[in-house]
Amino acid sequence: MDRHERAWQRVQEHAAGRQVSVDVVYAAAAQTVGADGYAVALVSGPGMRTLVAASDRIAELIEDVQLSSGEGPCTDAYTGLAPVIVPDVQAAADRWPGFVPAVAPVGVRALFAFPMQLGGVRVGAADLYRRRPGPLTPAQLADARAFADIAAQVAFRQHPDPKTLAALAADRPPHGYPPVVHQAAGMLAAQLDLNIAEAISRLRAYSYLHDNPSPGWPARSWTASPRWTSTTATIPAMTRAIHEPDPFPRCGARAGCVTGSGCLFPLGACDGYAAVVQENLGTADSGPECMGRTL
Amino acid sequence: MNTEPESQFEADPEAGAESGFEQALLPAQIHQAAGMVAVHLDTTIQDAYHRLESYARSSGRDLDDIASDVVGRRLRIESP
Repeated sequence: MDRHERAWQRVQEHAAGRQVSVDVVYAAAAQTVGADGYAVALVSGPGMRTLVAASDRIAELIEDVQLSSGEGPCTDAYTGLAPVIVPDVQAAADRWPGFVPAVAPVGVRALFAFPMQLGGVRVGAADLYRRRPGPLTPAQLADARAFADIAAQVAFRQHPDPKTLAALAADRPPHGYPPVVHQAAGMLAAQLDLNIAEAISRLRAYSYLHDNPSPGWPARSWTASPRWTSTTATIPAMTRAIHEPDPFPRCGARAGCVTGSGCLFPLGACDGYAAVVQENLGTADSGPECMGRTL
Repeated sequence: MNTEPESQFEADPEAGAESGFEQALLPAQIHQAAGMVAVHLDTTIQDAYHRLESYARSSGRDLDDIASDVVGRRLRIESP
């Protein structure tokens, strides 16, 4: 049995009867090569790529930062059509000065990025990360390449408009914000009567101002909250709240804050967020339901 | 024969990965329009996608066109 067949068998075990998605392919890949997590970004159109699967918040961050900074291992894997192996992320700060400082502090120590392609047509890129430094063994590398090939086929088959992929410029990496940033930009535009470009600029500005790694952060927490209507004051508040020393314990770990309810607030951010909302609105606001507390 | 097109936004837990995938690949403008509709109608993002889609379906126009009009403020989707 060759590597592709074996990889496909692992994928089917992970799918357990459900339809195979890129998410399932990479869950199997991460387990097979001993990675702590994975993320997959697919090309969605000319100049656009979109995060479609992420195992956890660290994986999301890895992709978000690459999508907004335009640099990083996945970006290089995509443009070079070759795997990018980073056994020690901290040693790669010169190569990606915008990317490394955002992901190194959260414990990403090794990264392995793979292009997803079919006959030279780029479908996207995926990365596997580890919390400990070190390379992939030759066998793990070969396995990871096999999974990337499978993921490319799955993605291509499920792509709503695969024809667009063949026409993409090969040398320029697509970039773009995840859907949640566009959703937030729409909300901001409607609330503050801005056009979309201005709204995106403001999100970006707040992100950079408050040292958030990517506009995906305030945007995600904002749109994830059900029926949340914001005010001008809460936008800087959101970004301020999110910039907490240790943003990674998931909010879902807190009692009453059910995982999957949509709240992606970092645990520490809840406290800052609650305080700031109270300060800005002057009253107890029900806030996102999944904050796990009553303001 | 039922010609009702399938919704791209059905929240089907069994098809979670696939529908999420479809939605993730929509043009940026549709996400932006959904954000605006969510505010206008004081509803969730997910519901806003549904409203956009049903508006497009009932008016016989493309979702892309509807989103473009919402973002360009030529169209405001009101509560039913």
